[in-house]
Order: sequence, then C-alpha cells, then structure tokens
Amino acid sequence: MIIYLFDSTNSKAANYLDQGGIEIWRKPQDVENMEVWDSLGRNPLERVDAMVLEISQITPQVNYLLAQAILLQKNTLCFYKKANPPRAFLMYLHKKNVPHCIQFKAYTDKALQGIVHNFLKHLKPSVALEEIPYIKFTLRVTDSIEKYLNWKSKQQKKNKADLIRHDIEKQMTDDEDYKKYLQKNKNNLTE
Amino acid sequence: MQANELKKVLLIYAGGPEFTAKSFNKWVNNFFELQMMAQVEPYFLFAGTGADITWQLAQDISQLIKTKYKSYDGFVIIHSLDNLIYTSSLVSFMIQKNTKPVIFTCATLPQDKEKFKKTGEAKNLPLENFELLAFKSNVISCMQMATMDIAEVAVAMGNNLVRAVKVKNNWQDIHNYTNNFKEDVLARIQFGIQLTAYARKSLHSSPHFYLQYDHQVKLLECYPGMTAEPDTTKDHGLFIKAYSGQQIPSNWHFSKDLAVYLYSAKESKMAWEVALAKFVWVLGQTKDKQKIKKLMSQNLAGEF
Repeated sequence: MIIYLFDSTNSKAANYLDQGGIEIWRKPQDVENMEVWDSLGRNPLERVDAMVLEISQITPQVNYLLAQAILLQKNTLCFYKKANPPRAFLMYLHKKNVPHCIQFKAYTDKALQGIVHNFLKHLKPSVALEEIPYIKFTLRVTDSIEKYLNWKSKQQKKNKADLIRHDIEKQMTDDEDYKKYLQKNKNNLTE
Repeated sequence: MQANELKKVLLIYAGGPEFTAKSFNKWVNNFFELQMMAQVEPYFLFAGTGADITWQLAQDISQLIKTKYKSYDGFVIIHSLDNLIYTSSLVSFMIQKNTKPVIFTCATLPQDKEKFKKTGEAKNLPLENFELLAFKSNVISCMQMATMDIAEVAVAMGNNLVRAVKVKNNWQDIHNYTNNFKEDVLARIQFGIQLTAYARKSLHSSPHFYLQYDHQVKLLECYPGMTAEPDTTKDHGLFIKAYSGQQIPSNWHFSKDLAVYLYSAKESKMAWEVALAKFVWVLGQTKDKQKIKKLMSQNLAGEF
C-alpha cells in the first residue's frame, strides 16, 4: 500500500504510518518510476492508495493537494491540531459536500497514533499495526513493589508502566500453554 | 481559506468545439476542486477548431488580458493543441514586462491509455475516464500556477511549465514539449507545484502591451532544387526557413520594401514557429528594416 503524506509540522504521523508494509511517499524522489509519470504527463498522486494531509495551516499547497484528492477520489485523512482548527476552511468544505472518502480529524499528540491507525485499518483491515496501550484497570501495589519499580525505572530509564508491560509481554512470549490456547481458539474459529 | 482570501483568476476558453459558452460556464461553476484553488471567473472567447485559429486569436487574448489586468491575479487560457505554440508565442511578444502568470494549456491532451497500462502504474486509475481525469487534473494544476508569483507567459504541458517562447514542437513525445534545456522549465508538477530558479518573479511595476501584428507574411521552406521565386507582391514580410543561408537560390531578387527574415535551423536559438510569431509581431510594430533587424535580434520575451 502506498500513502502520500504531506505534513509541514513534522508530527509523528510519518512514524505511525511507517509499518505494516506501507510505503510512504513525501517527495518526488520517493517515487520509484517518476520518469514514467513524467513521460506520460500524469501526476504520481494517481498511483497512491491514500493520502494523509496535515491541514492545521491552510496554504495553497494544502488546497492543491486536497483538490487533487477529491478529483481522484482518494481515501484521504486530513488531520489538524485540536487546539488550532482551520474553522473557516472546514465550514467551507462542509457546505460543499466533500465526498465521504475524505475524512477530517482533530488531533492531540496523544491521540494521533490512534487516529492514524484507525485510518489504516479502514483502508486495509489486515494491516499489522503496532498495538496502542489503553487504560484497562487500576492496579494497587504494596510499598515494597513501588520502591522496586522506582529503583528499576531509574536503572533502565523507562517509566514504571512500560516496565510492567514489558515484563508481561515477555511472559506472554514464553508461556507455551498460552500459545497452545491461542492456537486452539484460532482452529475453532476456522472450522 | 475564505473565498475572499483566494486569488482571482480569469479562465479563458479558446479551446475548440467541446464547449459552448453556456456549458463552459456551467462546467467551471460546478468544478468544485477548481473553486478551491482560486476565485475563478470563466470567459468564453473562441470555439473554433484548431485549424480555424489565426494570429487574430493571440491579439484577442492579449486585448482581453489588457482590459482585465488590474482585476485579476492570474490568467489561464485553455487552447487547442493545434497552433498553441503560435498563439502563446505571439501573446508573449504582445505582453512584455508581464507581472502576472499567463498560463496556456490544452483542451485535449493526447493520452495513450494502452501505453499507460503497459507501464504497470495504472492500478488505481479509473481508466474509463482517462482523458477527462488528465484534463481536469491539468486545469487544477494550471489554476494553482496562476496564483503563484510567476511573471511569465508560459505553457503547461504534462508535468512541466515552460516559457511559451521556449516551447518546441516535439510530436514524438508530446509531454516533453520543450527543447530539453533545464532553464526552459519554470515549474514541475510532482505532487505539488515546484517552481524552478528560472521562473521570473514580478519585478516590473506594470506590463507593456504591444498588440499590433502583421499577418501579411509568407512562409517559405527551402529545399535543394527549388528555383521558382515566390510571389511576394501582397506580402510585407517573407520568412524563409532553411537549414542555413546557403540554401537560398542565388538568382532570387526581392522587392526593396519586403522584409526578409532567414531562419537558420542550424544557428537559431528559437524554434522556427516562435521566430515566425516574433516576425509577425515585429512587422506590426515597424516597417523600417533597420528597426526590424534590431528587434528580431533583441531578447524581448526570454526567447534567447
């Protein structure tokens, strides 16, 4: 899958897209057969499967890319900073009934990964994405456990939650009974 | 962007019988992607076929631009592929010290669908609308260029924007409509529009319009063995196209009032079509042979 990314703010969108067999195009040098497109006089945007545009600042470049996305009916994620939405632009587009393949999402730094992953899942449900941790439950710990976690966190320069997640993930990997259980469940689903 | 923040562009149709005035206006007003780029006003100028185009069209376009110059930030002209090089070149000489983009493009781009399919890049392309998609995408690109700081009369063809007086017919590869010198390419369309260092920016305070031309010019191509002297009694100018000056028969004698221009393919830096357009324009400015000679050798529109 090829995705064109325009992001003048250098958010982490590129990092979140860079997985699951996704090829990211940002500049002409990223296009393998640019000379083919040039010789035929066609825009390489026609080749991409989707577009991701950071639109917090509405520039002529953003206008142009969005116009091409609409013309080419490309699945497009337009994301903008929640603290600074381009209100007038969004209202203008809303009145014009932009096609459903164009999505608009407000983001914060924390939420961006989830927004990008949801977009990718929508494009290709089978894409393998790095899992995002969410709050599931509250864990009470003893003073001695807390003391250990504080010490370990300083030693390994990781936060306490990451330490616990890492240890559990390792346990999951090493647990043969759990692996057999997962395989059995998978076989039951496919029968 | 708010509508009143968008630049104003006049979209002139001189592209052939595909549209009527009514259908063109409707097409532009319904072309939402175009309206995102600029405040676009359509102007239906000419609906003849490419074969019907004369030098007069260049004057009509230039006159229209002169009239509307202060009201718009840029101009896009949709023109037939036929005779595009002549019209755009003549307009280049008619509008000098230009401060705004004047972008020519084609109404119908030749699109080889089978060739494209063979490249393996056609995976996501709606091939049933192959030609229409290319045309609309091209017009959107031209509209974007018409809002940029490009003080040129230029032709947008394929993925390149080329100074009109540097365009050269290359029928083998229509999308490389240039003479292949990198300084002739003013912008490239690769994802977005990238201006090159050669695109002139607006430096002058106001343009100069020189709208006169003289169509009474005969074109003659030299070849070995031609001996019949051309009848130029009704002409003000004779444009001789030759590989070099040695091709002209030595027994030819011309009227002293006739301006004769020898185009040497071997030595000229201009395409012959551009040189012809310049000669037609120069004769509209003066009939004085010394002045004609001087103007033909001066770099008036970036043609050298």
